[in-house]
Amino acid sequence: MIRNTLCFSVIALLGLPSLASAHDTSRAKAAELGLHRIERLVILRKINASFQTQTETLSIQLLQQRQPTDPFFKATITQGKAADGSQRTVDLMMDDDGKTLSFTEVGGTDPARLPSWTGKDALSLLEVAMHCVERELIENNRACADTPALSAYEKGFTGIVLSPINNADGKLMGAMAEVTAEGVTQTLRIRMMLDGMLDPQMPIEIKNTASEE
Amino acid sequence: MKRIWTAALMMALMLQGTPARAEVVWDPLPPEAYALAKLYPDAQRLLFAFDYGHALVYERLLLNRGSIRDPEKFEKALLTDIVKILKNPPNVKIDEADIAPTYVFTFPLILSLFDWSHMLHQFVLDVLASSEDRGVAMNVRVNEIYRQYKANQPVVITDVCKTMLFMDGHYFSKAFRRSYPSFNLLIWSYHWFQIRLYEDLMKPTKLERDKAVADTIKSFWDLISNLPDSADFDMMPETAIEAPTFAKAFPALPSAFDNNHMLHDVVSDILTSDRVMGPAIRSEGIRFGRMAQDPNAFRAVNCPARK
Repeated sequence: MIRNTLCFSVIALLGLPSLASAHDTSRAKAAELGLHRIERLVILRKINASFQTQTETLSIQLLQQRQPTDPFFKATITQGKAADGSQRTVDLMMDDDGKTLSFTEVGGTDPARLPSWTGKDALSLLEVAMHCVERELIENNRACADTPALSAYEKGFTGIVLSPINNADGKLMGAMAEVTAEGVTQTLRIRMMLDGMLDPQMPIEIKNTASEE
Repeated sequence: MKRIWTAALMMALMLQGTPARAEVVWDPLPPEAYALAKLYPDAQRLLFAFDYGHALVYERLLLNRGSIRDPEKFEKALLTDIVKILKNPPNVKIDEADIAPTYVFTFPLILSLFDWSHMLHQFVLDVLASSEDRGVAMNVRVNEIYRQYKANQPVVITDVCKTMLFMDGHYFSKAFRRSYPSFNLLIWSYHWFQIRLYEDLMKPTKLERDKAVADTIKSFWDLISNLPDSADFDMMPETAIEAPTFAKAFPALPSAFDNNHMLHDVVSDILTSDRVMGPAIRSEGIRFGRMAQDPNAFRAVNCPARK
């Protein structure tokens, strides 16, 4: 496996402009910013390009800071497991504004079950789902904005998993993002169409893990 | 009779100091117009260069559409040309029709929206740079300028906060930043510079303003010193975050400015994406221009500018 580490903190050390900070960054916001960083890293060819189309999960951990300059969030982005047991992963170390300080990529081979998104790619679908968790309107669909229960997922966000929705014939019909949060026993399910719009029939659902079908 | 006179008087008051037609003509010009150029000529010339740079990139993308075999080479050539302009910026605002006639023809509505909005940007900077009063009177002037801007509804970009999905949520989105990452970061650095100027010019003393503007100019050059790595933006810089003092003083303006900046990215993506068929470019330009004006399209619930 290739272990590839690059530090962006060098930029701060060189005295380049410190871009303003928003503080009060929620875990969900940090996750969304992590997705943007992954996209930037793909565009700039600093990580494997397959993260754009094959990303499957993102999780967020809060870190113990010893000093204010230490990372505050750790985001882990993974693809599905490969047949050889490897798994492509990127860890982002972020400050308390969700700004990435450094990243570490663990290489691997393609997932055993390759996703084949036909409209929006995996990162863009996850981005839409994160906007929903942050209770934004998705285009003009108010489902996420009008569900107060989502604020628990925004504050306590721990992870999101993207999976395909297939019909009985196995045809890809849409995407589902399952969101977990600290202190919440139920899983939030966000259903999207392949173009990144929310599924108008059942855009969101909060489901007891125990009552899984 | 009394009612008629009252209505006439109210109408006259409403029209006073506001542009009377749906044209991109600010008449009369505010007395502060282009004061920034006198007080901070280097900053002003960079702003003129940005307008030039935007128009040039749009024109080149349009003229070369479908025939750009090597995007990296295209981007490198474009960056070389633009950096020359930035290093030797114009002293006056360039008329887009002179340097980008195809763009002007293709995006009639968006061009008017940008022109009108750029005047707002300019005159707000002029007031902040030159106002002797740093309190109520300055704020009143900025709000007067904004009221005049808003009075010309057919070419006004809404000040209702939109989500980033307005920029990134379409079938053609992100095409520009994926094909031309360095150039995209240069444009976000332009936006950052412009936003930071508002914050700099909110400083109470001339000495502080001078230093802040000088620092921002230096930071801009640092940002573009080694693109793409030197500009550490994951997303378009937002006014409320980069200019918090300004945003607090003028809560309607950050969203108006951010919506303008997002619309610039939308145009870049329309011009770059092969998912937008050639003949559709003009109509998509009009559709997305209208979306920038529509307060309900991609309306944000959680708006950083309103916090």
